[in-house]
Amino acid sequence: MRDLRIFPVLFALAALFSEIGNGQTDVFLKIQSAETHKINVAIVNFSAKQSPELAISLRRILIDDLNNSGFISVLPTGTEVDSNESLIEFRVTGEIIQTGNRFSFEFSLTEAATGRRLMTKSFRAYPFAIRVLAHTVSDEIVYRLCGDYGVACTKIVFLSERKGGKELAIMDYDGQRLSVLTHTNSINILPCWSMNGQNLLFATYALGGGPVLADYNFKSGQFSRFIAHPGTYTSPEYSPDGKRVAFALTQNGNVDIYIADRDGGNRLRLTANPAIDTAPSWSPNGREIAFSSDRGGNPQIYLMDAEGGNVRRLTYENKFNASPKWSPKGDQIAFVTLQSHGFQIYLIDVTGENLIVLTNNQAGYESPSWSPDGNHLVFTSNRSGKWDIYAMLKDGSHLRRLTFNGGNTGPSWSPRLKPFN
Amino acid sequence: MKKLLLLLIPLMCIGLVFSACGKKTAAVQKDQPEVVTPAPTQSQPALTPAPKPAPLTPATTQPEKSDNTDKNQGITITTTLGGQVLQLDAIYFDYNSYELRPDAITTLEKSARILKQNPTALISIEGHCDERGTVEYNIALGERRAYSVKNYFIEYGLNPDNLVTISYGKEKPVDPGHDEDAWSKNRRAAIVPNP
Repeated sequence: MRDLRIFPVLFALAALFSEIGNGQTDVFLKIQSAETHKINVAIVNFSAKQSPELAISLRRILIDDLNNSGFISVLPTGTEVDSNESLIEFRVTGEIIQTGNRFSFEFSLTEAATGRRLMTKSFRAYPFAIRVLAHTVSDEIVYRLCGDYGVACTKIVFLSERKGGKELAIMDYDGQRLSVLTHTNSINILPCWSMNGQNLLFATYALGGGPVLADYNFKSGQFSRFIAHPGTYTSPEYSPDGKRVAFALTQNGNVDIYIADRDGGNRLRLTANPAIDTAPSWSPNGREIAFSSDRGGNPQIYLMDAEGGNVRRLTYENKFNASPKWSPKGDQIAFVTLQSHGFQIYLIDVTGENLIVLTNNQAGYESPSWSPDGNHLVFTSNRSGKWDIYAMLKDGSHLRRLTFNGGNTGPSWSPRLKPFN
Repeated sequence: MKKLLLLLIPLMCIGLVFSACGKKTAAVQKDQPEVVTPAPTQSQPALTPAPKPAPLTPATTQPEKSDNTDKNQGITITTTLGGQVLQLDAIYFDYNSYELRPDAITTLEKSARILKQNPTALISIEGHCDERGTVEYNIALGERRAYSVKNYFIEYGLNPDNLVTISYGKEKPVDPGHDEDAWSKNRRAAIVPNP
């Protein structure tokens, strides 16, 4: 797959990857929410004798990444650095050295007050991998300061409206390096990632007739039918252990929720209700499944055990609640509620308490998908007048627009992809 | 005939709801026959088409908005089949409903009569929705709309083997607008003869 070709490069640099850090036990910020005090970090201009432009772009990407984490605030430097001096809690310094057609980058993170060096790491990379390098450095710094991996190395798959249909497309978490994965001239919907990041499952009209599930393999760039049994299939989602898939299957006009093994075998029906039961989403421990159902008269969010029993209703406010997505942290469920200007994104505790409205009801907001760290949501919105992909922190702050050309919907955030480990 | 009357009662109730909605609906009423009689010619009363009743119908499928039925016209699939030109009009639904409206039954009856004369025609019934539903919910709703039509055709006496349903949910709107006018056009089932 074209887009992942830089990963081998980073595999290569893993060998050269060195760490001179001190004992790394202390964490400076336990990530809770954006209301938590943000850590003030200064990034000193990287020194680079031969390739100053590389140093400038690397630093710029790193600043964006750290700010996007939601838990770090990068203070302006340069002429303003003096006035901010007292605010700086940590300082990042780094140096780029060009060797042949590659370069090495060594950076250090120091505690400003004590001058204590918290970590020093070095990487080698080709210049075209500069974004991946910056994302990797950002995740390292976020991990060191917050005790939780950031999402700078993740990707987002979504549907891009093209002539003839909606094709799967992929981009970095920040909207950069976009590429289109399929060329089906047909409609594809509801993509989801496998837990190892190597496959996508989605519903497609490309195989003739109504939507059926297809499996896209990044390595081969090909997709194939998943579950040959006839019927209308939608809403696939891998279980957290990656061994099973939940999906909605319509037979004889009625849709219910099923699970099957990763290879499509051992199909098991979880709901058997004449209502519309759809949009299954696994709890992170794999024991429960959230779904939407109109069995009570209008669509609401329900929870059930992963074997299908113990169904209980979670939402009662409003008349159209759907698309539940269980947080990777396990405590909350994101979903959408139909309001006067379209769907809005809500959060609710799995206990049914603390209903939180995240969006403004000035436009439509749909298809929320959690970042793997459970701190961000990606979704589609027509707030600009056309449908594009946006991300925000889970408290609704730090809204970022990721696509700009319109016709972009149905995003799905990747698991944490490990370029090296 | 008694059976037919029983079926007509709910339809007439819906008609009453419409007439309560004012001017626009008056126009709708005018366009339609006074009594909606889905029965074709009377030779086979047993095959009298009727909307598929109870099991698939939730309690809450009252129309939630008045419907601009008069503006819905315009989607006609014209196909030549065996040298004959078929005109199969799309039918329209109320918001979040898959119940066949009286105007839809009138339209379907026409299509069914045409299809009955073309017993070998393979038909795709496409269910569509407006944007006020999620992607996955609307696939299910569109499927139900297609099934409502399929069941009507089966009860009319068409061969079930010739009828295929396919739901596009909200993926293929005919009107990209964001108002009731656009929505009412998008909540539809299209009857498409397969070549």
